[in-house]
Amino acid sequence: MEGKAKIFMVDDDTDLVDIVRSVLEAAGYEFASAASATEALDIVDTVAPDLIILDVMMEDLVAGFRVVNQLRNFDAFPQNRKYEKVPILMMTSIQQQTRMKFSQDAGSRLLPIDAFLEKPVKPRALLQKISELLNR
Amino acid sequence: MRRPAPDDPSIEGVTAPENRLINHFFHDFKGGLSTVIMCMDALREGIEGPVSQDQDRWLEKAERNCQHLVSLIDDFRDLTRMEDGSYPPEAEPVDPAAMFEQLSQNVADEAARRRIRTAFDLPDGLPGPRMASPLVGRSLTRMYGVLVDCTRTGGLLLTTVHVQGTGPRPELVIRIESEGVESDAALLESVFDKLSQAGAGLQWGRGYTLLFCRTAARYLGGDLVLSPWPGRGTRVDVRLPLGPPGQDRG
Repeated sequence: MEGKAKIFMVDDDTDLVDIVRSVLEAAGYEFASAASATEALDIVDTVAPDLIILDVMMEDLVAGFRVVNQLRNFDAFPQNRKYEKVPILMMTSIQQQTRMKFSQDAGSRLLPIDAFLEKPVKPRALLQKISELLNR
Repeated sequence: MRRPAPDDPSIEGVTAPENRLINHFFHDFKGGLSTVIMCMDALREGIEGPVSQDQDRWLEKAERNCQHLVSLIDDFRDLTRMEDGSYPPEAEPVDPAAMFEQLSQNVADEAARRRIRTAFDLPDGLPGPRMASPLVGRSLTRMYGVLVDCTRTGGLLLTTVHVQGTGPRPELVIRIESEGVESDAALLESVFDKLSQAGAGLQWGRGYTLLFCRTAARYLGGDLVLSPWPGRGTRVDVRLPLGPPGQDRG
């Protein structure tokens, strides 16, 4: 990817957002954030992200899933087809042991995200995953 | 937490909401700890400039303690989910040989430091059972950690595996024998159920080990039994059905 990629983090933990901002800005990325699914969907067009980091439990238990649904369900939200190629990295403290299945296919019955990281996440691991997603 | 009877009409009314509350509580608890851990990681990786060797040592201690708490939270959350039946019934093929090789590697450093001899007696061609492999792997890892702690310096930690029974419900039988702590079965329970303080220097987290491993074995339809290894130490017998979880769940 040419130039500075813009990472959009959606998470209600403002302390965590602050740290991730420092880590990503130090690595040369642009950064924007929202503290809820509602805010994220309100401002995503303005932010125009290259990659989205998304929590699950925010203002409600499945807020993150709602964002995914709206950004990937092009039948219901055709205006969001512009985000088809924008990777979504889900970063949550839901345990990996739940074996949450995900798929890159928008039409899949599985969760249509691109990658999953379970908190706590090492900064180095986060940077590596972002780089992989942006350069694939 | 309690183990619900399959036809207990109060499960939905009491246990499941209680466990959901516990799960939500621990989710928030883990979220806060995760943030603390990431702060320390970011500092140690020099995001805000270099840290001294001493500062790094203190950060490492703090991080290790937080990681231990996260691990305990994961155990509690899984325990509640096993007890209310909401643990995901995913079944994946398990390669027993690879699983025990990994266990051996996990304890290799500590075993070498204390000159503990680890031995595995696995017959060739063990079938690859379908079971909740993460649960089995975590349980056995915890149990091995405790058993290494309890094996005397220079002692033997022997693992024997075989398949018992044929027909519709064969079982994988794992016997782990440790030369060291020897007592009657009742006292063994208290030794292995020890609730350690967080970050007490235990690499694998001894807290709740017996409770966690036994609950997991029973959830998978098997069992875990502690008994004396006469004249030598402790014996742990684990039985796990080779079928997918949920079949004949105990």
